[in-house]
Amino acid sequence: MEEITHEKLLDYIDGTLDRHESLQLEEKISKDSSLAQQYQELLQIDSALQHLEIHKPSADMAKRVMVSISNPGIKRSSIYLMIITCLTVICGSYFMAEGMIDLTMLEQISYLSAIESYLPDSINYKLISNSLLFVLTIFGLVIFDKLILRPYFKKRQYAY
Amino acid sequence: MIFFQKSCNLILLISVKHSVNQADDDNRLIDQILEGQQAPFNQLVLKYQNYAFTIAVNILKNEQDAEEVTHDAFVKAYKNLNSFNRTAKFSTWLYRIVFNTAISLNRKTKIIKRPLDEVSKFIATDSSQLEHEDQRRYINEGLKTLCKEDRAVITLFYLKENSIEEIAEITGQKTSTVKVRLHRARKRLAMALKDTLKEEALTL
Repeated sequence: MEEITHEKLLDYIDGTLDRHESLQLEEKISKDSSLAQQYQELLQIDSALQHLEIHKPSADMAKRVMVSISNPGIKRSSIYLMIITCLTVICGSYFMAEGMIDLTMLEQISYLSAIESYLPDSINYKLISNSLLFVLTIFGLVIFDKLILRPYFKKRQYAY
Repeated sequence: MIFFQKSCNLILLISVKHSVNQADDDNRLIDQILEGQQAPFNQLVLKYQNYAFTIAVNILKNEQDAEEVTHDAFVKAYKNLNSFNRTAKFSTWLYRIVFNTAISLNRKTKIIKRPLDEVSKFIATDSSQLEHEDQRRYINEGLKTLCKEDRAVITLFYLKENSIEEIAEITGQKTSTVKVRLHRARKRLAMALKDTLKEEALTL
């Protein structure tokens, strides 16, 4: 048998040596005191590691995991949609209030003026533009509720 | 002698059967989760959370970070459950996620490595020999002196759930590398324990 290294001793402790090698090693250990000492040191460590401390996480770990998988969180695309909606509402409101944007401006566009001849005269463009702005505002508020407010309050509910 | 051999064979057979039964249980729960049920995942979390947390703590040396890693690992496991191909045990796959998540977090935080001689300053409170409680405390201190990969390998090996090949799969290393790490880490711990006992003898 070749020189006994600590790897060989650890293989013996782990029970991975074959029967012939194990018997040879046992014989060498019994005859060599320094080898026996090395063996005892490694055996002591192996014995101590057999009682490796099992750490326990907090009691609500499973609960928190289940909350997280029930509320997968907000997708980035949804956040962008909400931001764009809010910006559109804010900018649209501002520019309309300043009179910078008005659906009557469509009359200036030549190819749309052809369509205008088919439209009734009583159309209130201001009403339409305000209605669109109102619908967009409601849409923005619904997204805000679905993406931000509901998950936040649900998390608080499960936290306590 | 024959009786002893038969007893050993019986014990081996029982442990293999237990392992197979465990795998069947896990597969049954996974099937239910993939069908759309969430409650079975709670059972898997409760079953593996202690070992997953222990692995994370021993890599990160910090319980708070380990909580975060364990939580994130389970959430990742749930989201990617349809990609679990069942060639390995569920625990092997899960511990791989825990290991990778812990290593990623560890890279982001500054690690203060404690030199080996600091461990030898840890003196057991018992005057005569290291008791079981002190051994555990010593081992925890000794583990902190190892690099994170060595700590991970030691923890996975002594949790007794994983073979060398499974540990290699979890840590993404070769089987020979895992074996070398395991031997080297234990040798370092043995040297540190020797120093501790020497210092104890000098203070008596």
